Parts: sequence; structure tokens; C-alpha cells
Amino acid sequence: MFRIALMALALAGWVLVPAQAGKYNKKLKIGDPAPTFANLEGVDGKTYSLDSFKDKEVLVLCITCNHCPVAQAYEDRIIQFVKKYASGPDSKVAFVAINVNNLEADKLPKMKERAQAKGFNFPYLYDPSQQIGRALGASVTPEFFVFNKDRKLVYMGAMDDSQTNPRVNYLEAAVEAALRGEIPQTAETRARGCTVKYESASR
Amino acid sequence: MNLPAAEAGPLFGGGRPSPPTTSPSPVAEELAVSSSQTLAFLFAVLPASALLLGCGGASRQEPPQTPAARQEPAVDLQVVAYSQLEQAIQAQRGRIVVLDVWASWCLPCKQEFPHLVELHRRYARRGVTCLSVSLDEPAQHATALAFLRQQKATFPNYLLNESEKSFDLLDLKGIPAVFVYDRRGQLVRRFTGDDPDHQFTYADVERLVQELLQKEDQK
Repeated sequence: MFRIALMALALAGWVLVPAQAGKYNKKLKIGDPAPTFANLEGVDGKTYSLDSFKDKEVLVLCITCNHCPVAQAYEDRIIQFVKKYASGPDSKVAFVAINVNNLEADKLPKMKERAQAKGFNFPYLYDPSQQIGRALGASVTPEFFVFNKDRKLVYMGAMDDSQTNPRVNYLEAAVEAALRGEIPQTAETRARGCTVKYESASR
Repeated sequence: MNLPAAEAGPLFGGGRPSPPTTSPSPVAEELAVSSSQTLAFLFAVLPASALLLGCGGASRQEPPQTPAARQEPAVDLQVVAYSQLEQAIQAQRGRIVVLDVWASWCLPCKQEFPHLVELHRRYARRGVTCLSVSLDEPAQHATALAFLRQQKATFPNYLLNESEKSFDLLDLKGIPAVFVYDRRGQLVRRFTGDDPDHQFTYADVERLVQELLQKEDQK
């Protein structure tokens, strides 16, 4: 029944849902190109696009937000990651955090406060249209996406295996693999966190 | 119109994806409970609960009831393993079950929770059992219970002691989420936020509950 419906859709020539999404992601699968974004304002007052990071070999996008305790629990780990991989003009990796929530506690003024208080060492952008979150299929905060030199997806999911007692850092392993031009051994994990508050249903 | 792949669902078999909704999800602007309210509430509740514990003991006797206690049934929060949660759902066979997955750290969950309480109030007598399961750490039991009491969540409430494994066991990335089971204990639908284009509200949950009730009425 389901197969017939799917075939009918395929025959009709318009498939709303990618035939094959990720295990935990309804939109993207490993190998998919990076969704573009443009003119997103950051907490530093500058605007950023996907192209802003084209000189970097590896791009890490992180959908996150202010209010979520899980996202907060990862802030220091992100700062450490950026120190190690993505700080300085010569680094080969760019790390970009994006908030798509429109809760008052998550909007740009609060983002600026949070970034300053925590000393964020990476661009923290606001997308009130929520488009980049949707395009990434991001459903929780924080959720991480690693794109290689060709801006193909090589990893998506959680930063590590545990919020309270992490033993495996999937994100670092993925970035190391991408720098070597490889797909990481673990290319997809289950991100855990607060649901992103998307405002409208299907479009 | 839209046919995502069937999910391998936990808690008894495959779930169907939540239906597309046309109404925009409510975007809450503020926190559900201020910490001062919570504190005030704790101070109000703690002496009363201490009294209840002191009087309970092994006997099944009802504790002496104040007028307030008579009006409001006790709110309880039981720490359980995943298998016990499964059993609790199956123990409700013959009734429709609405299971709300939440945590005290999850603001949207707390904003949605009153809808579960309302569902309980309106449908319990018609054969619908509302349950809640908290993904808080057991150390947060008091915080979670205080919220449930404030909400007057007089239905069975559970707290999973599976820590972060809970997300895997429930096959969830984020919460809130609501699972609905029919009278045979079969999972009918999983309402989750896992697909950006298929978000849910409690209006969707209630619609499904009504559909299930109607089905039973026709038999």
C-alpha cells in the first residue's frame, strides 16, 4: 500500500519528501549539498551567507538557541571545539551557530547578551525566517552538520555521545575525516535536545 | 499528499507520521512558570506532602483530609524503567491512552502541558487515559513533581530513569512529543517535532482522540 502510494508519487513526477532522508533527519542524507543561506545577521552586527565561509575546507553548521538547557550545556564544548579547530584566519574549519527560534528569549538581542556573557568565539546568526533550519531538517537544539570542501554533507547529529558523560566526540571525528577528504565512520547520530519551534506547518 | 517513510516506532511497533497541519503552531513568548512562583508553590506544597507521607505508612488508610485535599486528588510521580512504562500503557487496555513526553527543562513542553490536563478533564470519563512521562533526571524529581502539582496532573505520571537512553528508547530527538494508543494498546500515532514541516499541536491530538472515540462508538 505504502509502496504503491510512493510509486504513484514518483510517477506523478513530484516527490515532496526526498526519497531517502537520513535515519534521524527528514530532509537531508549524507552527501547532500549544503543548503544556502544569505544575509543572516550575526551577534557581531555583520551579515553572513554560505559563501562567507567558502575559503574554509570544512564548514560546521550548528542549529542552536539561547534558552534550551541542552544547548546551554554544549556552549562550553563548542567554544573548546572552535579553539581547537576553527579559530584564527588560517584555520581550515569554519564553525557557525544559527538560531531559528523566535521565542523572545532566543531573539537577536538576547543572542547578543548570551554571546557576550559566554564569550562566543564563533559567528552566531539569527534566521527569523527559519528557512535554514528547515532546509537542514534540524529539529532540535543543538544539532550539528559538517560539510566537506565540496560542501557536501559528511556528518549530522549530536556533538558527542552524552550530555552528562561524553566519551565519543562525533563532531571532532567528522571534522578530522572531512579534512582528510573522507566520510567519517559515524556519519549520522541522533541529536538530542529541545525541539525547534517551527512556526508553520508544511509549505 | 505527503508520504514520509514509516518510522520504526518504539513502544509497540511502527508509528505513522504526524499529519500536516494548516494552523500555525502557537509561539509562546514567555516561560510557563517563573521561578518565584515555583518556589512559592514548593513552600505551599512541601508541608502538606510531608504530612501525607507521615500519615501514610504501610496502612491503606486514607490520611485525614483537609477540605483542600478532598477537592484535589493527589498528584504523584513514579520513577520507572522503560519496561515499566510499557507495562503501564498496556495496563490501560480497553481505554484510549494519550502519553505526553516532557521534561521540566523543556519550555514548550510546559506550555503544552495544560492541554494534556484539559484533555484528561474532558475525556477521562469517556474512556481516555492521560499519562505523562518526564525525561528529567531522577535527581530532578522534586522539580518535576512540583510542576505536575501546580498543573493538577491527577493522572499517572512517570519519570524515566533511563537518562539519555530515553531518547533512543522512545525514538525521539526532541520533546515535547505525544503518543496515542488505541483500546487494544496499539500505538496509533506519534506526534513529534522531528520533522520541521510536520509540527503538531494538541488540537491534532484531540482530533485523533475524537476519531478513535467515534470508531469505538460505531461498533
